[in-house]
Amino acid sequence: MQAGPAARVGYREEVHHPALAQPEVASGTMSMTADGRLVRDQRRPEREISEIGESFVSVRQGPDAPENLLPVPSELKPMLDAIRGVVGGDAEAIAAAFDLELVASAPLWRVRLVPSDSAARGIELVVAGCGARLRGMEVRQPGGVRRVIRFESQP
Amino acid sequence: MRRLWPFLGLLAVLAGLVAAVLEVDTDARGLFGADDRLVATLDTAQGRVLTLAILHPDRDLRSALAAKIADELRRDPMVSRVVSTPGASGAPSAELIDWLWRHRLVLAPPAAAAFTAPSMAGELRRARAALTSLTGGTLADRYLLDPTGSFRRVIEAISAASPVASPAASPAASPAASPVASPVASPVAPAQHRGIAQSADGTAALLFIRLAERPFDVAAQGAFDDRLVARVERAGAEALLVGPRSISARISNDIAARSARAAAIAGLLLLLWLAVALRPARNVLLCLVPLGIGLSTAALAVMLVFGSVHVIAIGFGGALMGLAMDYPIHLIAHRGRAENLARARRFVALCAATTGVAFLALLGSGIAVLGQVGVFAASGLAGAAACSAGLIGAGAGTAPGAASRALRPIAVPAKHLALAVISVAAGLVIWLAPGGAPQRLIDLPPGIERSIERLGGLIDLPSGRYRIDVRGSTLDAVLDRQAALLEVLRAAERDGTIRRFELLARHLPPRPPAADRPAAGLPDPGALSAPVAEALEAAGLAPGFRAEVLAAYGAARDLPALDPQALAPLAGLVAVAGLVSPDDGALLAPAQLWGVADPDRLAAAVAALDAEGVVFIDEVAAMSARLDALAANAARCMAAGAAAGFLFLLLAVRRRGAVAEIALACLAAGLLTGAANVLLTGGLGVLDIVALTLVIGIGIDYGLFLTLSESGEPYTSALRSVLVCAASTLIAFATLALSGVGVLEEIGATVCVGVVAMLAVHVLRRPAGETGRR
Repeated sequence: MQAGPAARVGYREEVHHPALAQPEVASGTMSMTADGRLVRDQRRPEREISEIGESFVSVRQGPDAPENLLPVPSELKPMLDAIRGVVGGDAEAIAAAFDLELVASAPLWRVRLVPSDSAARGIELVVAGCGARLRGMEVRQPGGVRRVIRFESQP
Repeated sequence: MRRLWPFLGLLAVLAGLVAAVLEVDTDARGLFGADDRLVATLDTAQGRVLTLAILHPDRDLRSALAAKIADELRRDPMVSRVVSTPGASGAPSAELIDWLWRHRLVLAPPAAAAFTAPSMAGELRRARAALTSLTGGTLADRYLLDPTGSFRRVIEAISAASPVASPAASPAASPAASPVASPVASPVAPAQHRGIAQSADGTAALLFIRLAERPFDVAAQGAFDDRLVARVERAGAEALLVGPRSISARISNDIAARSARAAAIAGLLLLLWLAVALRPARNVLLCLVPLGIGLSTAALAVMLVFGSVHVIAIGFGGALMGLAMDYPIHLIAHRGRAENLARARRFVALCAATTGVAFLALLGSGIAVLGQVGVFAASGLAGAAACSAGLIGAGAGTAPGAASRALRPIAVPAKHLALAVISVAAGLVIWLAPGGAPQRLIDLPPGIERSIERLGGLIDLPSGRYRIDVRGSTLDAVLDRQAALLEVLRAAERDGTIRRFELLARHLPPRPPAADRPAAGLPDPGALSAPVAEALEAAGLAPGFRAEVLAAYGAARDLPALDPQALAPLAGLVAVAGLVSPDDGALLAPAQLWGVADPDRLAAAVAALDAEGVVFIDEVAAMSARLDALAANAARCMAAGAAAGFLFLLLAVRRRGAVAEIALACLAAGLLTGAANVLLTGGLGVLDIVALTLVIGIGIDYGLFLTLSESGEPYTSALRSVLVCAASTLIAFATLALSGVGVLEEIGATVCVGVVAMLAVHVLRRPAGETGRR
């Protein structure tokens, strides 16, 4: 994937939870709208279309399903901000919201993101890529939950 | 006039004492008692709710003003909570989520089938799926710990009820779709601007205020309301303030202001009349001083007995004290001859004592304010009578047109028979009256009705008259009762009996019928060990997770029953919506109703449920019934007091025939007045009874002078003084009857009719042969 706005990318997400014998796997696509909202269209295990803005997120069970509008849950905000910034290629927004640390540079680079907001401490993100191509990200949440997202180019 | 100075000095001392120690009580519970639901309503969460609409065409201005006022109100000791966005979306507090989690088995009790391994495996798979949901993921940890699915169903139910959620959001939807946007939705979900709720027509910003938990006080509430309205108006906007306490305070203040005006007019007319009737004009002072001493004595006596004087006692007691004005008038009329004056003093003493005994019977009513009225009137009359007797000595006769010729009583043959016939006929009219419109203690002033109507246009207010109360000692019991009611209300909504309703159970998952619940109650965690292990394996979860699942289940199962105290976190959130609140040691979760088209049908359907603690309430009928009970109680006290008074009179006078004539005449005139009231207004209210108490007192006064005075000069003096007294009373009370204040109109009209009736029955006397008098 080329970092930048309006790209549509496929993704595969593994959720590792202490209660699970095997990780739960989800997949779908992500894209940005012209007004800066991230559209997460999850196809598996259940269809869920989320449009994530700065403060609100709308959730539908499918393109024709009714919409629920709700505030972005505070515990998810750092992760969603990071995904919006990374998928949208908005480096300034990422730099404003996170302390960045380059932990590997060649041939694959990895950047560690720590939320600047002390209220969001306990969440840690690592974004990985190769050159200008974004490969994936990992989100570590309190309670031992780990989310590993891999981005794939759409065919 | 030499006698006047010491009494003026006494009056000054007493007035000073009153000014120093008088404490006026305005707590409305004085009239109905602390336990009465009418007034207790003002002390419930719903009774303390106040809605402020700030009207201004500029949305930004009114929203900013509302936000500023909300901040100010949050620091006001009169205010407990200010909600600017009821039912609005907002992340639920961690505290509420924890509370819902802990009490999930009460809020959504699992059916027996929920404890089987296949059912639990299904729940755990849904919980796994929630892990990948953007929003459901925040709750997935708890879904995984609850294979009964109770917590998921609670979250789904309240999410479906959320005003921001789509109406089509189904309870069967995936847990991933549970946004928990508004955990407990308000029945009213107004639009918002800058975090401030806006009216449906987009003309007003709305603030929902909950007043602090302190007893309702008219003065304090009135001052708070005035401050709030002035604050809005200073900013150039219009304020509309509506709430039970606010309305009560405005009504009280409205009555107080108009009463003061009516009293001032009546007082002025009375002074003019007395100046003419009691020439020379200085005699008016001889009437006012005993009245002032009587009022001061009364206020001090009530302070001594009760610790404070209720404003209603001052009002009613003050009216009854009008009788005290008669005493100096009688003495002035009889002062021309020493023996006449001595007899008049005796009559005044008898009158004050008899009436005082009758009024003291009000102490037995069990109603604090009526007891105060009794003490106020009895002590005041005694003080006024004593002062009159001491103040007015022998002198020139001063009755208007002083007697140039002696008058003879008008004799009526068979007077007792006539009075008996009148009493029976009037009693029958009162007894058989079909009853008119439901009783109201007060009518809403037009201004308040308009405010309520306007606010109703701004937000969709539920019916203030009809609701269905659901009570229980625990939330579990309340929800079980609501589950039965829910079906009745849904049917009523479908067939148009009501337009819509709100009920706590509607925001929670459907409760399984008793037959579907585990027969022996929720199973022991140990009994679930095997099925949980099987479910974990089937859902692909780690076997070691079983211990955490069982521990979480055991903690929820063994929680103490949800009583009013344990409800606290939820009560704070739903009280504004009026869905549930602690009430008198129990939980009250009323069904609010909109557009009640057929109350009788709904009442019958609720009664047919035969569910304990579920009651259809018609506030108007309930209030009328309470006022009827209050009036009946007051009437019993009045009758007992009158009987005691006449017994006292009999012992003091020892003329059975004369006392019987006075008693029978008072009974006939009292019943006649009551019957006239019934025919004109449809019933006897508590105010009519209080007015009749005064009429009986007046009747004893007239009866003593006219019946016990011998023919010739004594009778002439008595008749003249009685006529002056009657004219004075009529002037004062006719003014009240025309005042435009419902309460005063009722009392004024009753007293006017009563005075005329009393005058008639006492002026007409039995022939001398029948009484044995000369």
